[in-house]
Amino acid sequence: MDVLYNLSFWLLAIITVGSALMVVTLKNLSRAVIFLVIFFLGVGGFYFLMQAKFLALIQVVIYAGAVAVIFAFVIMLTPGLPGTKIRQSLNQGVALIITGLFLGSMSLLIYKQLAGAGKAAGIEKSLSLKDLGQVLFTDYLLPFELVSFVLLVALVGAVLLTARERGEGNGGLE
Amino acid sequence: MSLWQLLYEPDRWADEINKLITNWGLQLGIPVFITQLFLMIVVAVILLSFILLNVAFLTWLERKVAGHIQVRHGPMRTGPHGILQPVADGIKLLFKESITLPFVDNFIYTLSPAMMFTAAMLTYIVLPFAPGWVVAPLDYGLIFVFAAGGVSSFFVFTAGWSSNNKYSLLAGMRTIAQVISYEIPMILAALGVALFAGSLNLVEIVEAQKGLWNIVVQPLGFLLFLTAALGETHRAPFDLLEAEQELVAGYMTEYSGMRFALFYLGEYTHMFAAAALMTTLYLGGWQGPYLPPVVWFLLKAYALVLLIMWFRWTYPRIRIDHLMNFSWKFILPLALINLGVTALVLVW
Repeated sequence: MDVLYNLSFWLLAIITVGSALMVVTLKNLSRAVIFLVIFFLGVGGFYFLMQAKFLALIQVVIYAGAVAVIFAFVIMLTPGLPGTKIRQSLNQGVALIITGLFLGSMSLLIYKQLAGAGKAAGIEKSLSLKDLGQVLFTDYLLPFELVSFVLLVALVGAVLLTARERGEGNGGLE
Repeated sequence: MSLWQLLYEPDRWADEINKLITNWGLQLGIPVFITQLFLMIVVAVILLSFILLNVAFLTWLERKVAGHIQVRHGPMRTGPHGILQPVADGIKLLFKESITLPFVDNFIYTLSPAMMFTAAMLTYIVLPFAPGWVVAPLDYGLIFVFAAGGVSSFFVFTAGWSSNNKYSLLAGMRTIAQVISYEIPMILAALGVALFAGSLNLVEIVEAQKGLWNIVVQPLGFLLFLTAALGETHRAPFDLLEAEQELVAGYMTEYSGMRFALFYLGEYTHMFAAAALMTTLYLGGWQGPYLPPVVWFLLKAYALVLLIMWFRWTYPRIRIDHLMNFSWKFILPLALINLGVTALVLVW
């Protein structure tokens, strides 16, 4: 089982990192969106590998199924955008320094954490749906409700913005 | 092993074969994971041949159903009652030239049909055909089905866009709008069943229906799910993305040869998956008297497929704004009410 685990880990790593690199380096935006979907699927695969099955499936439904679709919609349906070649440059000195510092400190921290434990403890049992529901509605009730409230505000805001643009008249779908 | 066991206890002998091969492998010094991998490949081949044969059968069935509803015979020349027609079609499609037009985005254009079919096939991993006959009895099987469906529809959109044809693009846009608006009531309707069974695992949902099928407890849920499934699999009367009279052939217009065939495979695979899912959720899955479990499962699923085909050749297509209104203003509130009432009944 260990061999299979390692094999799938490296396969997923290649797919995920490769497609992420493609997303940021491709000049063609429409193709970048396709690789974004593959990247989301790869991350979902990692969650599966770590036994976080619910998170993995939600990742696929929300990110690959909805967020990427919105991206694709915006990019592919904006006139003139799909054909244009976007500029790719490497002169992002400040960004490089910040990212490098962040990556360095994170890997140092993780390395220190794991050095004591030897090997990362494998997760044996995945969280059942009942456990998840219990935790969400008891220990983390306030954050959960806050998040849903924020989402509601965003929803109402979107409706309000489009309703104002449409004006008073019967300019809608009808 | 008796014939009774072979037919009625498929989980028993499937398990025995698994143990036998694993032990045999251990004796020869082959690690367990390699024998498991080998068994997985065997199962995948069986499943894949079922999917392909099923699509071949469904294309023939569709033409026969259409013919008989319109008082014609349908295909008759190839084999008895035209049963070999799919073979002829398949050979024709294989030998056709796969034309790539200039000005299409070649990468996405080639990738989309393959990815669409692959995502449609993913659903079959969690479908329980009989006790023990499921590739992966995932705890969250129900969500997995919807995840695969969402990914599949994304590639329908990219196919429509990359064809560089306004009709294909329109079809792609309609796909996204339609799938998003019908996926939500579909999930909400299915959640009612999940509440009843207390699980999202499709195997457990089937086992929870012992004695009483969910269609009796959740008749409204079944009707809503059926309607939403028609929208999700874009079958008539919701087949707006390949409306022949307006959009030529929708997102498939610019495809030919084997790529076109892949879309067809994807569509029919998706349709049977929807029927099989309805069987699992509402019609008690493999359960039934006298006949073996697999036979029951296939009987129910194909009955639903026939129903869906019957709809296609009976009802006219509805307009796109009516379609959206119908989903958001009628099906979605009803699905919410259904879910709420189910939850209330279960609490009291």
